[in-house]
Amino acid sequence: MMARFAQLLISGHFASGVTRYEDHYSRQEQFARIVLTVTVERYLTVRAVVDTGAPWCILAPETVEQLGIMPRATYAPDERLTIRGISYGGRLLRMKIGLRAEQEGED
Amino acid sequence: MNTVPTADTITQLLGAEMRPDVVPEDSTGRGRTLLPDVWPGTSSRVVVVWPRSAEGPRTFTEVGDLSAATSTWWNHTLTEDGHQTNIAATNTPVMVLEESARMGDRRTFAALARAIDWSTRRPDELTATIDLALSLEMATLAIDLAQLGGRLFPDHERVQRAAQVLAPPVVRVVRLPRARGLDASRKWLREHASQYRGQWVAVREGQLLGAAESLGELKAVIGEGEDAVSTIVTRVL
Repeated sequence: MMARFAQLLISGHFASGVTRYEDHYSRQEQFARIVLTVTVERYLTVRAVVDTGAPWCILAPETVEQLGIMPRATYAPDERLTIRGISYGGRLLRMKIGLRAEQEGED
Repeated sequence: MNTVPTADTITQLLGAEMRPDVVPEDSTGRGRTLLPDVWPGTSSRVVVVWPRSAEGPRTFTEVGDLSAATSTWWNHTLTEDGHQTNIAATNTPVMVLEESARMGDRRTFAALARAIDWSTRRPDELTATIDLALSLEMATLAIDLAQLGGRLFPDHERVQRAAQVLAPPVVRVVRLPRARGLDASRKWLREHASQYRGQWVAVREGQLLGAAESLGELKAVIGEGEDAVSTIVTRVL
C-alpha cells in the first residue's frame, strides 16, 4: 500500500521520504519553524527553513557564490521581488534543491 | 481604435480625474506628441478606455472581454496661448498592466496579462510584465508568461533566460552519497552554535571542522562527494 501511495505521489510531482527536523533555527527559539537538512546542487549541505507553500527558495548570496553559479543562468527582474508581502532585491536562479531523507537512502 | 472626443465622456467612462488645465512639461505645442515621449507616467492626458459598448464599468475585470482593452487618442486645445497639443496613443494594453500593478490591482493585472496576444507585442513588454508579476507575488503567472515568451521569442536573450529560470518545478527522487552523522552534527549545532554568532560553521559527524566570517573561507574543509554531503554548513544568526 505504501509503495503504491509513494508511486502516486511521484507521478503527481511529489516525492516522499522520512527525515528528522528541528522546530526552530539556531538562536531563534521564539519562532516555530520546520528546519531541515537540505542539499544545494547536490554539493552543499545546509540547514534551511522549509515552507511548503513558498514559491521560491531563498538562498544567501554567499551560498550561491560558493556554488559558482554562472550569471548567465540567472534572471534579474527590473522590479523588486515580493515574497510573503516583503520586498526583496535579488536574482532568480534555477537550481537543484534536495530535501535529504534519512531513511531508505533517498533524497 | 475608439475615440473619445471630450474629457467629459472620459470622466463618464472611467470616473477619471481629468485636469484639462494641466499642460505636460514636454509639450511640443502645436503638433503631435507621440506616446513614447509622454510615457511612462508623465502626463495625465494619456487615457485608456474601453470600447463604447463597454461604457459604464469602472473596473476592467467587470467587462469580461479583456482583449478588447485599448487606448485612445485625445485632442486638447489650449485656448490661453493659442497652442494646440495633440497626444496620440496607440493600443497599449501594457499601459493598463503597469497601471494596475502600480495600484496593486492583482485581479485586473492577471486577467489582462493572460488576455493579451503577446505574439503582437514586443518581447521587452513581456519581460516587463513578468517582472511586474514577480513584484506582485504572482509566481504562477510569471512562470506561465515566461514559458509563453520562450515559445514566441526564441531569439530574444532576456526572454529566453526568463523562460529557462522560470520553468515549472520538477520533482525527482534521487540517490545521493549517504550522509554520515547528520544527527550528531545537528546535536552539536544545538549545543554549541551560539558560541559562533554571526559566523559560518562547518560540522561533520558531530565535529566542528571550522568557523569563519565567510562561507568561502570554509571551502577547503567542506570537501567533496560523501564528505561534502555529510558536512552541514550554516550561518549562526
